[in-house]
Amino acid sequence: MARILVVEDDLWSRRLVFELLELRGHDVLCASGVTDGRAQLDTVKFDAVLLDINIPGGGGELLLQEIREYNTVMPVIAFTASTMAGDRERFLAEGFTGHVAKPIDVRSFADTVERYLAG
Amino acid sequence: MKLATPPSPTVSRAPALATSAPANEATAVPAPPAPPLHPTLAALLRETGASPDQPPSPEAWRAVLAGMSALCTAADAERAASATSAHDRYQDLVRRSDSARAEHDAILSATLESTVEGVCVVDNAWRVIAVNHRFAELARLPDSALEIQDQRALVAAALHVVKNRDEVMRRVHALHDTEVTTREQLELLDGSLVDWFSAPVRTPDGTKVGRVAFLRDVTAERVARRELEHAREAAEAASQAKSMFLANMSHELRTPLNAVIGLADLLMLERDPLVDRQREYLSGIASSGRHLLALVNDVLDLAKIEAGKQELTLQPIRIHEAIEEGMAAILPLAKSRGVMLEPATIVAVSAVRADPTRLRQILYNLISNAVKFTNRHGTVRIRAWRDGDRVSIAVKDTGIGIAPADLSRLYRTFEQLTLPSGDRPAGTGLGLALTKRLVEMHGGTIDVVSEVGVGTTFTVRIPVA
Repeated sequence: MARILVVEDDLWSRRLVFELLELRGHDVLCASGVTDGRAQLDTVKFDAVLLDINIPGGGGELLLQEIREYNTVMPVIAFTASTMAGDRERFLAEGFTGHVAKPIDVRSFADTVERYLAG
Repeated sequence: MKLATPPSPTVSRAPALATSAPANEATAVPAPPAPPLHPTLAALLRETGASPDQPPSPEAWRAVLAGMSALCTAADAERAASATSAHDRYQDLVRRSDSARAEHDAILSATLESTVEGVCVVDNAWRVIAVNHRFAELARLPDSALEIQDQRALVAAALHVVKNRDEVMRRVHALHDTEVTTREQLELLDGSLVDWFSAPVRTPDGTKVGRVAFLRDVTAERVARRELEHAREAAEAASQAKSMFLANMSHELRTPLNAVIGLADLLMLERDPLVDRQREYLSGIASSGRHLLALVNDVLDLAKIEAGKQELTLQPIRIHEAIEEGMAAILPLAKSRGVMLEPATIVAVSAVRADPTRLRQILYNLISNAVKFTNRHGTVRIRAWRDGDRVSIAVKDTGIGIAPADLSRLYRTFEQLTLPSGDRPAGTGLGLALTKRLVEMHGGTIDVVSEVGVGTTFTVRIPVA
């Protein structure tokens, strides 16, 4: 069981991910943007972050940079609807631990996240 | 006046004279032979009854003299008249020649004036031979400039309106003694643009006798060309914007679809008790969501291709694996439709050069189409073989076939064939349009052979690795 932060600006996508991870017994906290996410990260110690890229407040990449300044090992997973070729490689190069594409498959989503948690 | 023929041999005349005065012969003192007389004079003498050997009476002599005098006066008058006529004819010729030349010059000059180009002709000694008003007009010079005799002076005056006049001046001087033909554009201080064509003037034997410059105002042409360019750029930008809009919209649509499909699937995870009808509705929500998602994905792909943003990562791909993978993905659909997917026949090929994701998409689209348009108990069979520097992959079904009239609509977007049942088949109506574009991006081709009620074979040819 892990404590996971989900930063996602779409309410129902956030709710879906929350449900799926909570079903597995994880402790899930949510944020809707960079500012909100930053505040949560400052007050709570997380085991992993699921981070949407296209979010208000500067984008997921900005928040990732801030995280990587003090924590280079915590899994931070890019969570996007982007399908541009080479995106995955770009995310990994930027310091993300992995990438999960939207729309998610509810049957395999939690497994995928847990693989990143295990390293 | 024509003079009479000189007297023929005197001997022949003698008998005539002798016969006219036979009476005098006996009494005459022997005299030296008479000089030959001009026939006219001889006739005058005869008229008065005189002869060379017998002096006439004073009256007759006066008559002869009067006749002679009249003849000479007439001859003088005729000679004078003839001289006058010759002079007049000469003068007339000169006049006509002058007027022909003047007319010729006038035509040349009018031609020079009627052209839209400014023209200046100079000889080898820097003399201005001809220059037209248009030249002065283009150089913003008064007409008095047309009187300038020296080329250097004229050019110096003309170049006052040209932007980099020192450089152009050097060019003019450098060109003067050459036989070079040049064309360049001069920019004037007021922003207009003049096309300057400079060429040697040669006589028919090829000797250079001077140079000629043609100047033409091309400002309007440039403006028109620029406007055309701007219009084209605007159209391209609009097309790009449209594609970018589609790409962005597709991307934005995926986020809510994520929730629609995910939440429906979540409900069906049997965490909560559901009655069959609820489960059926949820299944409808999820499958419609997936259909919408497939549509969005295809639109996004097409938009990316049309915006030129779709890039391929070409690499060698083992054809056997790619086909197996495609068949495996379609197997559940084939099973549910009762269509038999026969084992693939792959002859003497190992790899193609393709983008893995896109090749998968191409094969998936072709195989799923074959399955969708084939009835229960039908078969779908895939073959691959080497075809020169290409690999041919044929997907053959024993399906409903495509009517000849429908073949031309096959690769259009949002065109779908209707099933015999009247239902719209599953799919987006974009699959073949997308497949064709993807195949062509790989440098490949796609062909179809079909017969209604017998089946259809799609064949794609992709470069071998």
